Amino acid sequence: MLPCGIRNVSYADQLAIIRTPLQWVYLIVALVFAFCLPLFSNSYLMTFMVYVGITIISALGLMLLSGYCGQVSMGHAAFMMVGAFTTANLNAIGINFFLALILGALVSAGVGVIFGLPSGKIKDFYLVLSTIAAQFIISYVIIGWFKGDVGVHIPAVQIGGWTLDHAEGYWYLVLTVLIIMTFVAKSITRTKIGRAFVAVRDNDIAAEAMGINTYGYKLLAFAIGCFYAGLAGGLWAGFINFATVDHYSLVDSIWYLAIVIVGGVGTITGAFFGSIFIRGIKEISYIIAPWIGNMLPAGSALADGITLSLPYLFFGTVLVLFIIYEPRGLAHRWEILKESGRLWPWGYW
Amino acid sequence: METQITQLLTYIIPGISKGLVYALIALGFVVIYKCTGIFNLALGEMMVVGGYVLYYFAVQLGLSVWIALILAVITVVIIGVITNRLFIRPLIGQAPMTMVISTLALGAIIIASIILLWGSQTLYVPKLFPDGGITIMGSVLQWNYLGFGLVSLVILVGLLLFFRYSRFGLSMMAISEDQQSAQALGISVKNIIQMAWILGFVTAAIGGMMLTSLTSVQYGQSVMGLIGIAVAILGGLQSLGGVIIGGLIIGLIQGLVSGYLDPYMPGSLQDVSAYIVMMIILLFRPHGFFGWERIERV
Amino acid sequence: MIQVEKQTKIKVDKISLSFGGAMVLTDIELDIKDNEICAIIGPNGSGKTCLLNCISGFYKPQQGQIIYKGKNLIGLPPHKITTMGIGRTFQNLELFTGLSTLDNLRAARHLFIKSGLLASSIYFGPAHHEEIKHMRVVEEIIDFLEIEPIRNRIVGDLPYGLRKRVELGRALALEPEVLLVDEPMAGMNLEEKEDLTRFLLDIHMGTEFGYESEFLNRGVKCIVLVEHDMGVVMDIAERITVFDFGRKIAEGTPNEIRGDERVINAYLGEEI
Repeated sequence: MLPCGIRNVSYADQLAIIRTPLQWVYLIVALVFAFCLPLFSNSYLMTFMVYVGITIISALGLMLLSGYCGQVSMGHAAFMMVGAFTTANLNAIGINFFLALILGALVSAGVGVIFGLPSGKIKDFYLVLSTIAAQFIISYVIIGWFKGDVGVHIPAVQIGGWTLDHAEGYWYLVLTVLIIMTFVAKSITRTKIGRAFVAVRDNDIAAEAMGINTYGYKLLAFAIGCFYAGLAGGLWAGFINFATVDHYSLVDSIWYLAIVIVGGVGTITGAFFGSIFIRGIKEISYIIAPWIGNMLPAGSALADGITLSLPYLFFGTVLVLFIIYEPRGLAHRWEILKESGRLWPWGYW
Repeated sequence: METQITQLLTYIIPGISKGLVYALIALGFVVIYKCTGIFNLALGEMMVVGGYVLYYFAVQLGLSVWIALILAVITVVIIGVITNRLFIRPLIGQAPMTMVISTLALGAIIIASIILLWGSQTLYVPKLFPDGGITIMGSVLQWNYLGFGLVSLVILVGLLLFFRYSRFGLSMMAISEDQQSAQALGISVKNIIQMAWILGFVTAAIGGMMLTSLTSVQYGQSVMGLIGIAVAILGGLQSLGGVIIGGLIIGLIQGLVSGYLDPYMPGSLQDVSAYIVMMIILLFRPHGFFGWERIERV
Repeated sequence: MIQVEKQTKIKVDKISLSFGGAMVLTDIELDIKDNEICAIIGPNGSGKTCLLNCISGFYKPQQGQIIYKGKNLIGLPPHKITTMGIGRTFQNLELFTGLSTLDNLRAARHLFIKSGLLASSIYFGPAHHEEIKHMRVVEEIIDFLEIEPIRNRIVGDLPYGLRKRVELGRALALEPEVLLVDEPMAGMNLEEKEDLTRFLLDIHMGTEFGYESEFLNRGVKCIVLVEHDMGVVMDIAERITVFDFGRKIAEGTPNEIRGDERVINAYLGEEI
């Protein structure tokens, strides 16, 4: 639904995402704000924002793979791990960090295609199972052969004269990558590739009948989705200066899937909403856990366990509430909000 | 030659024993899938809940192990009813993937509750059967494992008879095909799903209780649920009896791998081997040994 | 009157299809000719849709060949067969129910869009131009089929009759040389049938409107119509083939078929 008074007079108008000058203003203000963020926030907040940014990049990949193309993947964290360790190992043998980052993402895309090969024959839940198997198999391979058991150290990232060893500096790197990758993701969804993905998701028989090579596009979805994952993993390793298997377990893969669902399946904004929301919930659970723990009888299992269990509790509750009451996610709710805003009487003045 | 066979047996026998554990857990998965079409990813958590509830009655309340077992089963039934109301019933009629995600959420909440109630350390429960066992060629097959196998078989046969001879049998298969059509036929989808859910939950939980008494209980064990799912796939998701074959195969493979390959390979190939088997089956024969093959009609 | 010898567009050469033990099609021989509306009729279960599925590539006959443009279609994946110029609609409507009418039709333009991954990622430039170009084609099809009011509506919300038209439009968007239409009149009332028949004829003969899209003006010259409604079939088909129990039992012009005993027996049953 368009704002009041705006009409489409050409096909270009119809296809545009930013349709009015006011929307351009919003976009520019948002970008300026994002770039100026370090100026008025502290180190803790910036660290959180860096994590959120990296999460969004990974979530964009999973959104394209699972949200748009319908290939539900519960192994996304494993592909991030591939990116992280490839970047770290290549960096350790002397390759420039940024080159290693891209190579890491490409290797992750390749591994993604390999584990996406079953998608030609198996669908839905069976594919989910094969991605779970992928999670464990990749984990094993990295621990066994790529120094996953001890981790790999990455020295602080350097651009030109600057050393990005603190959250404020690293934020600019993450933000830049995020903006580029969001643009690419949105572009893909607006063109034939994105449409092919959705066609495969909605009805793969009809998609075949429309001349879409469904198997090829499923593999492409894996490649693209895992490229994003690998990129995110490499960035994370660069941030904490260490590639470790700890952040890339099955539990993390499930968190990412929750991000896609809570954010809104099949939307780009959903990756943003979901990441911010889920990361926010996790942070909140870490913050209030000790506080709640103090209120409970000291020494009881309840008080001890609260820190460990609160994230799980939040996760489960949020996920099930969203599935029952808001199945189309936050992005959908946002669209409804915008639409009711546009229908509000003062739009007609 | 004798020592080689003895060595082989030391890997095979625990493998078979483990396989039986897996089979019982997988049975919980197959029961729920066969009757409701729901892929229950909270399988491992269901199993672990059984162990913890048994711990509560057997250790925290100090009752005798067998009485604790019975009380634990009753408690699990109640947990099954509650979880069904909260996580499954509101989603009846929606896309299957939604239910799968809901079971994920359920799993997380079960883990959270377990940590809050019992903490994160490993807990022990007295064994159900006396120690000792039969000795085969120098290797001991413990009474506990045998008893476990027996209990599993009894449950399996009971379930098979139940599905074949009770009116629930057909209704349940109808629901697994299409929930909305079954509702249109006057089948009380809600009740049957609840029944199947509880049956599956209890089966998996009993598996957990047996496992706990054999070894220990700790919420990290819930990852065995995934191996249980692999076993169910191997046997065929529509086949109750298939879980035995699946369980034995995976248990055996794990046993052999841990004995013959693990010493030479980095990391623990034993755990991963179950997933590799699952991948192979998914690639070449997704319906498993005894499942039904589906042909898509255009 | 000059009789122009019509060329064979698709040659179905003695194909047999079975599922497990059930023989669904036995020794089917059929010449689908260009510049012709060819109808296939027969009782339910006689294998008509199965034949279409074999041509489209969804089923693989165990025996025989299907020759189109010099190639054997059997064994080719469905998307390849579509790119060769065969479009179809489905009996049970295989639409993208989560997408709008517009997006359903745009999905069909897939074959004609040349942008690759790189161009699509950048969007502005070649990809944008192609989007606009194909948007125009899709809008013209929408105009042609008179479904403007439902352009933006999600197909899942549409009534059955309109969905059928969207499906037809989507098949049209493929710019097919051969259009396979599977039971288009099923579930339609008289007025809807007349509308749909008119559209089929317009599609076949081309429009006089002078659209920018040449294929709309040209028309789809070869249409294969699988249908139950004898009225429609007798009216618009130039040649009719009759199936029964997976075999071809008759072939000819509408007049010939009308009087054919085997056909009457198949539809009305034999006297015992």
